[in-house]
Amino acid sequence: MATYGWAGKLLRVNLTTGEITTEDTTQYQKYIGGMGFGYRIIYDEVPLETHPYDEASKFVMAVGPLTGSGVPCSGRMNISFLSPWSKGNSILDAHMGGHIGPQLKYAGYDALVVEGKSSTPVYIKIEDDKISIEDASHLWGKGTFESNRIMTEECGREFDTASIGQAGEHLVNYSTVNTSFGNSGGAGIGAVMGSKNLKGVAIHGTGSVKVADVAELQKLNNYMLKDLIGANNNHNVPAVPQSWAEYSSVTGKNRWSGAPGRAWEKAPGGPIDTGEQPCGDINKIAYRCLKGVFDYGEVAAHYIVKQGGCSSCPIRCYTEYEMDPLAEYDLPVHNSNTCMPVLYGQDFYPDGVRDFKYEGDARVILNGASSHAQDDLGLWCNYGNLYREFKWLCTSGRIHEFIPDDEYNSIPWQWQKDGDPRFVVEIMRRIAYKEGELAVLGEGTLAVMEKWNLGKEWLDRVAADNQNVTYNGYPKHHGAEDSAQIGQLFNLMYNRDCMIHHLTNVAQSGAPYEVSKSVMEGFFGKGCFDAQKKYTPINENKIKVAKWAFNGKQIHDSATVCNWMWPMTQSPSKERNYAGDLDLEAKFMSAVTGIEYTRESLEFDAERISNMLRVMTAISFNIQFGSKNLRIDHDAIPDWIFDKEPDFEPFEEGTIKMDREDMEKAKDMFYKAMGWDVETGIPTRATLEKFELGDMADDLAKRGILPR
Amino acid sequence: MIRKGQVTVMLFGRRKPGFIQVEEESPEQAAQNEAPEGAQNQEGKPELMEYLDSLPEVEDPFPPMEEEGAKEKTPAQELADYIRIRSAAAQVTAKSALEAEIEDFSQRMELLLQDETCKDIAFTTGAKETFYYSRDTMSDNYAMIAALVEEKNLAETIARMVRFNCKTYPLPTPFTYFERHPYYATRPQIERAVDVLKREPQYQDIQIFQNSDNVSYFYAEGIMSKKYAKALAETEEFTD
Repeated sequence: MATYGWAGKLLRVNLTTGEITTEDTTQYQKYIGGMGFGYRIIYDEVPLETHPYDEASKFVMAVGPLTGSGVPCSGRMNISFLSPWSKGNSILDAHMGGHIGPQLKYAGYDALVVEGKSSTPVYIKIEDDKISIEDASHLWGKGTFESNRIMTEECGREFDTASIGQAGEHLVNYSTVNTSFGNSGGAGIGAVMGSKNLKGVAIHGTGSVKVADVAELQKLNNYMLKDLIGANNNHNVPAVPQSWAEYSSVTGKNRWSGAPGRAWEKAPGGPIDTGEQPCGDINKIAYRCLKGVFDYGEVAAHYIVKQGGCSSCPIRCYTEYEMDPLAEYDLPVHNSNTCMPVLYGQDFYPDGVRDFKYEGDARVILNGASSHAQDDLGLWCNYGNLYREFKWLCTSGRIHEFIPDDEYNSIPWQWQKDGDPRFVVEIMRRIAYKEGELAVLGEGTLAVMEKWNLGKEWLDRVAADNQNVTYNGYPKHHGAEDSAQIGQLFNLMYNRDCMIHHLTNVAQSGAPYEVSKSVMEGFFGKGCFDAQKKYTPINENKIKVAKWAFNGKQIHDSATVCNWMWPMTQSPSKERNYAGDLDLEAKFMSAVTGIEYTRESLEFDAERISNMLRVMTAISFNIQFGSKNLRIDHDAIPDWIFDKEPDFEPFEEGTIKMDREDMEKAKDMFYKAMGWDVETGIPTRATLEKFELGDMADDLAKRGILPR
Repeated sequence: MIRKGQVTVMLFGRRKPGFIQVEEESPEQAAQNEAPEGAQNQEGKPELMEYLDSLPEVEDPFPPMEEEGAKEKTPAQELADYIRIRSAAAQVTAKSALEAEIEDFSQRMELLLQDETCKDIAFTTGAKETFYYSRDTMSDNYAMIAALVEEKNLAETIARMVRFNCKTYPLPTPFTYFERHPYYATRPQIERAVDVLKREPQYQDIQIFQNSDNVSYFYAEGIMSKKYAKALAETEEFTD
């Protein structure tokens, strides 16, 4: 039943039987939406012994009460499934922005559950209550751009589509699903869909989100846009001095990169200077983020057409380029991506790169080629591990140990030496098509280690290409470098990179430390926020911050709002002493759903989801390894975190080298704050019953892993 | 062949053959799309004036606008307005420039400082002179920067900003900071300023180092240790 905020229905498509049904979602509302819905449904319906590519496996695309409601930055969709590649094969999520999440909601659904396996390639077409399973045999083998174009052509321009590429079809663990608007969700969802012979989904909804208090929603919107929002990652001071602003980023490197003299140089009709964008001037917010300049420096502006972005987002973090030098190589010149694929293209050329048209543009152009190929093939990078491991392969001197001579000789190394953008495209193609030994890179960090017999020490070594923050197969996603023990703690919690931006958004905002410290201590108390590379031993207020960030991520992926932008911790407003508003998610939830939420009550609901994550992880580790202890088997920290920077001691000014004893103490304190057993890191019965998860406590007890 | 009653929709502006969607237009839509009678001339083009003349008269619901600025501004207030206009354009106003233009500048400024309507006007002192700005549109720190830029003494600018950044953020300052808005110094200009910094006794606290990527940085000795400055200049692997 549709209520304020929630669409009220879940759509279930069984690809084996072709059966299409709907169910009421009222029972799931205490799990908020998105990630919360996904976890509950997977736990209830998919035995955790199931292989992610088995017919019995399922995935859940879900949105939340705020998705598509008009709340700023609410164009997100969460996809939950079992991990094909990380240790334990437990629950994880892919996330995507764009417009397809709101379309699902407007079509009348909070979630799409896909189960079974089609005998032939298909795609799912959703147009309000008209649901069909369409033939996709003509799409199989095509890249995501072409597949999305054809689906859009067949269904109509009003549809948003999402497609897997060749990586998903070939069951490459590192695979994505990509939308017609250029957004992608990764973590292996492409292969999970591919295993079901599901090429994509096409969605168009003509409905709307029922909002309980429209006037309040409008008021909150205006408040957020005028007083709270900054630029991408909610950085609250400009990258270069602007006349209205007291502060700017000294390094020149933050995401409020629009500035006088910086232009969309390839805009139709002539360059558009991004100028100044004062706090409070809501019509200039979209000029604040000039992401290409943040990524590559001023040279990027020569190729920028404009900034694009997701539904309901004023920030526009997707730089859209016209990279004409790529035409010489018969590669697409129109490129857009905002995340990891645009940052590492040059890593495929470890001996150096050459510029194309302007000084310093090699990175821009190579990343354009790289990101387009990656998106088209539907290939995921595991937050950079794919690139790091290829670079390691090239620079370690060990490539001949792992790649047979005939395969090695077939790789166009001359293109690499020449800085030819076709080289990275060819390497990605081989990985996406699972061609040769090189393709093991696409199976995951743990698969690389096992296949090439690298041993645990490979994750322990101090090296730039080792960012693995656990032994589970994924790197850090903003960790200790931004927030010492806090970042390290929340990086341990998931079964993939954590994607928590709560702390990096503050630490890398460019604001003076004392300004950010004052804001953070106003929320969490003294000593909760360290200066960069000048951290202090763990304390209770840091644990409060860690718990807020961890549970907060679940709020964002369930409600759904963008965790790159939310929460509104800091503000660009001098009048507010640069303090944001941490109650804003709850205020929006109240306005949209009509249910009275407070920050505490919303965090309580999110903590329920955190506990589901933890329980499912414990069960998976028990199934896979007989583990009874997540602290030891899941939350162990590689040595490099403690052994890096030999010239420094932990806590010394100038380092983020962590201290082993202090980190163990931090785990004790965090587990205790979460209501988990300190020895095993597994939730206790009392905690689970507090969150109405008694059935999960029973399950743990049955398996002999419920803490005594 | 596109028939009457059909609408062509070019998807995404593409001109690819076969990528034009043709939608049937319902009779109701077709009727709605018909222009009012008499709105087309013989060639089929709309005659705007004829069409507007054919519309019924309506009363203006809004009262006549009152004339603004009935009260004449004092010379001090006019001076404040001039400073405000320049501030809004990100420029401070040099005292010397005002003195050259306005005979009774000192008197006007004295009156301005006493005027309740001019409380937003503030000043900052550079190495050589005073600059005025409006705090309604310009921040104090930016006024400091703009004054340094106006004085065109890059060595002094670097020294003051390096000390400020070391103390305030606290961070070492990359050379590139001075290449951007609003400084726009060229690398040869910065290098000449570095020579001055090394030579002049008042700048001996300003030190230089390169990080491991060979990016050059300034820091101010006495405010920040070299070890900490170098550590802060080492950037983490860039992620998103």
